[in-house]
Amino acid sequence: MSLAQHLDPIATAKIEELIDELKKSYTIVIVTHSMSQAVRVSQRTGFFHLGKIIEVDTTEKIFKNPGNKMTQDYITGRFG
Amino acid sequence: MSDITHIVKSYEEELQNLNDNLIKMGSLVEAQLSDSMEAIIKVDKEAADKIISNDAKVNELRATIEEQIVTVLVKRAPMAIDLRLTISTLKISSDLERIGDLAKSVAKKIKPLPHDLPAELISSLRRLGDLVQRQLKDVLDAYLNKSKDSAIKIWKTDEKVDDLTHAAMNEVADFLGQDKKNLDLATHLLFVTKNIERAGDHITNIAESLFYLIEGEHIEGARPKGKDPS
Repeated sequence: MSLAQHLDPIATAKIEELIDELKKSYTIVIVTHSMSQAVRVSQRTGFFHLGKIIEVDTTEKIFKNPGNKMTQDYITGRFG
Repeated sequence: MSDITHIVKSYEEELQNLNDNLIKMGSLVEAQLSDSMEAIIKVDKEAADKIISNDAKVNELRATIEEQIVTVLVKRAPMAIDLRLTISTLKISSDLERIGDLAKSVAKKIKPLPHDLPAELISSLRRLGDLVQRQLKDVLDAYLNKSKDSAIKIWKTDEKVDDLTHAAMNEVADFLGQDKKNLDLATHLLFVTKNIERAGDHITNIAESLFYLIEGEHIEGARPKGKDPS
């Protein structure tokens, strides 16, 4: 289940703000299929496919210029 | 670039349309630049009028591309290669539009020119114009082939554009030195030379955008510089 699945934008924003606050003191792991949410809230992103870790890097690198073609094809909506 | 298409076909079509329009704009600007060079060498005033009126088509395409990009950003929130393609297309279309404007500016300067300009001056403008036209053709080919090696080669060639601009400026200065009555014409020719050189700068920008599109990184180091053209 996604972190803020089925929530309206305001409730989603409140959860993301809470994550922003908590991340100063804690390491938070979230699992999501929402690319835009992953970009907004995380510093590092890992892409998993069929139980395997395909790529882990900074969120900026993953979403701007991923090193693995499978990661790129997934986040650009070429397979799901 | 990916050999797999998007799951959402309409997204694929939107990116394809964007790409098609950029290629169309590139061809149009290439023709505008080439026609303006031909017109200045031949002092062809009729051709100049055609170039000036055709600039509206370039601007129209640029506006269409910009609209398409805004739509893609809003609807699709593109990521990775799609994000870089969208951003690079926006930048490249902006540079192409500026090259179109510069071709139009060159055309506007043709009207007051006489048909008996010194042969050396015409030759130096031709050399500069030929190089810049070749650069534009090469960068558009490099875009089609997504060739980072060609992008770097074009980026480096801007140094030669500076050198040929410097040489052309010297010819204009000699022309002015022959007779102070040439001042008005020499001023027009200086603007022509500078406009061609600036078209070269925009081509270098396109090479940089293309490199970023392919590699996801900026070309390292400062642009190679030739003789100061000013």
